[in-house]
Amino acid sequence: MSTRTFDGGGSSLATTIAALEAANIRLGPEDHVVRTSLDTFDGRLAAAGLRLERRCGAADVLELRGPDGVPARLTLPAATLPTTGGSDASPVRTGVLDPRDLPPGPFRSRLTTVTRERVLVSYLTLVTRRREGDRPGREGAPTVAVGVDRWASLAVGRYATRRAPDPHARDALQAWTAEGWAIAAWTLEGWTLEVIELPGHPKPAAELVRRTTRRGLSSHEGDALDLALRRAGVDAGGWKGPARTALDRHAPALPGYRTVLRDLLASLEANWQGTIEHLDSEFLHQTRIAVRRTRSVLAEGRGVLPVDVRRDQREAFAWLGALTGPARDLDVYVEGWSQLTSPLPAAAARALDPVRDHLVAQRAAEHTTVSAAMRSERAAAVLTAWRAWLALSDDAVSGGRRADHPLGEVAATRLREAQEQVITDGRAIGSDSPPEALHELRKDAKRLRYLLESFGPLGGRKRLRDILGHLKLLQDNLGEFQDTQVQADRLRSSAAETAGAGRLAPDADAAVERLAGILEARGAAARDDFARCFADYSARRTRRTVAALIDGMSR
Amino acid sequence: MKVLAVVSIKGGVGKTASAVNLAYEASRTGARVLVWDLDAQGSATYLLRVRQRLAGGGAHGLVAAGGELGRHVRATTHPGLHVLPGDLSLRFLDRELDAAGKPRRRVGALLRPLRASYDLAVIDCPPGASLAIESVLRAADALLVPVVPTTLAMRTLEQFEHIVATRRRPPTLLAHVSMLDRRKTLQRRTVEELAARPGTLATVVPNASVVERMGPERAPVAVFAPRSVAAAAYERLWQELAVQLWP
Repeated sequence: MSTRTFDGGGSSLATTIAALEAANIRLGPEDHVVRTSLDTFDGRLAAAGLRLERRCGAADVLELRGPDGVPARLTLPAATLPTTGGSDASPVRTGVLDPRDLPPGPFRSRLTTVTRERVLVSYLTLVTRRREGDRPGREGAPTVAVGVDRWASLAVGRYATRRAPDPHARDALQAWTAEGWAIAAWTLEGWTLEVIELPGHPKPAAELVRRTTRRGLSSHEGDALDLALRRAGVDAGGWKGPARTALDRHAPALPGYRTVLRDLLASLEANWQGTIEHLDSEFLHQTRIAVRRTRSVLAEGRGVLPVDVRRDQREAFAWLGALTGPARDLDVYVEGWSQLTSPLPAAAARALDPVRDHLVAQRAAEHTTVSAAMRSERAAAVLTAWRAWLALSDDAVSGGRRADHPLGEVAATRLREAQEQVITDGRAIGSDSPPEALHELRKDAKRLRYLLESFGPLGGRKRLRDILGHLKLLQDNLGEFQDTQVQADRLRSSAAETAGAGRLAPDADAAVERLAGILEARGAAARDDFARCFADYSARRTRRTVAALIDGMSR
Repeated sequence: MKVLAVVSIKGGVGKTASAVNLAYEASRTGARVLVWDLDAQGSATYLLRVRQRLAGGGAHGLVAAGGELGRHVRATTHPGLHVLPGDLSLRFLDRELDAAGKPRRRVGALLRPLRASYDLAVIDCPPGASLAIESVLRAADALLVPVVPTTLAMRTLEQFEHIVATRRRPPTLLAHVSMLDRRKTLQRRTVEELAARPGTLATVVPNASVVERMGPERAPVAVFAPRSVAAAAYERLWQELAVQLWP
């Protein structure tokens, strides 16, 4: 099943309508239709070959298509979905939609399997005057379907990832400027014709496409909404994650460091607004990743970055890191609550509901704090100063004494130090070492991880992948050991706070202790497994790979 | 993809009406639905306004080795609801299944390539207990048996339960009251008896003239009589079924 869309351009719509009617196409009345393309910010539906559209006209429906084009339609009462509306000239962009709020069934299940914790955001809204029609077969079922849209306006969603618009787009869409998007909504003229092939009837659609092509109209794969996305320069694949600009190991270190920091700033800016609005937990997670990596690169920039810039930005990013930490911890806790309590019998898990509600309230309060801080003048000043310094040309920036050393050599030195620290600290840990020793090793491993992610590609991507796989095993073990302890402590303190407020039933104490016991047992198991995980990372083979990567960087 | 077979040894119990209306309700609530009309009468095909003709050799072309169901699928007037038509050649379905080899696995094998394209296949089965039904029983996740509340129909349900229970991996067997005439005391009593049996869905579909109108209208009840009692009953029945299929 495929759809082709013809661009009416300057040709006559009336002639096309007449041609459709002559081909026995029954056209329905014209309807005001608002069509919105929805996906997660990072395009998870597109990556899975799915396409979701919300269509508000006579009815309000969600339509989901897979690679085979068989549509699934979910009709919902308007109140179930975020509001939309507006006139032809000024469409109101739809809000976000959490697929987990949809009614249970295959539609929701297909979406949530892919979107997981992410909400759906609007990529683009197209407003048209639409007529739908089909050609009935002998028994009445359609053999080919069409949609005629007189375009009225379109608006690019706030969270859409944008690129340059289609060079063939008409003047009205030429809004791309050197500075980016000057405007994100257009009033349009023109029309399109969609020809939709239906199962079991390839010939009528092919015939209609042939006839329309003969009339000189150009056509595109996909429907009018796909065409609008291309025209407006919206990347239907969404945000692709942090950029990784290629580095040159022989180039001076300072421009290399600045390149890495610029990529991280782009990632931070992409996720900034979604974090402020707390659309879903992934925005904050990505923001924190960008902040932590930035802090790491700044820390490893001694002798390369200018002293004053490094000092000021380390302080600024430390503030951002501390600000966002508690909210992220609570996100992980709340979103993992079902899994966390799954070992408990249903009644015991239910007894802990007030504790979960308490954590949810704490999370909301933390996110309010994060939003307020990120909207503050201080945050704006941090971003402005950082953006301005990174925008300076490399010639205009002077760094520390090692700024002109080759990037590969500088990064290799840092990596060698970090690797030795991990091996030394890890080897010092025995079966009777205190938990603090493992916590220190976890920090060492994080430092190494960030260095590898920022500069590791200079030594070869294949080696890097191999090393990261072994390092991840160690980090997961250390994380499980520390996080289960933190979670058990938090569970007990949250339960005490909830009980203090009189919201916890007396029989919940047993459930709290049982769950805390499960967490502590998981932590103990991780502790027992540490020796194996560290042995894997510190094995001669892994160490040789790390050494080869470092040699490759500085060669 | 879940496979729901609407099945009964008895004829005239409302199998096709249930299959078509439930398929329509499923498609309205976001499922991609394929109705497979396995009945030689092709009534479901007719009600969905599709030509009762299996291209490429009828039942033989449908189930023969190398046969592909996808090429027989047709669109209906309802988005997300497709039909695999039935025609008179299906009266030889058992013979063709036998000839194709491994007949009891054949229905499942034919549906396998369509699993990614549909969320639900509703099989409208012919009455009786045949080789084709055996093959359907093996492929189905759930069986829905419409039961007219009479003593004989109850007896037939018990017979069918026995057939299903003897299977190594029996599909979920669900029954629903069909064509209830509330004026009849005996029918009301039988409904009470049915309701006490495990696997009986709570929704009762009445014996309503609006269901008979599906013939001339050639559409599910909810299309031409959306406010009718029968339309509401099928909607509720689908909600009950959906919970069973996607717990």
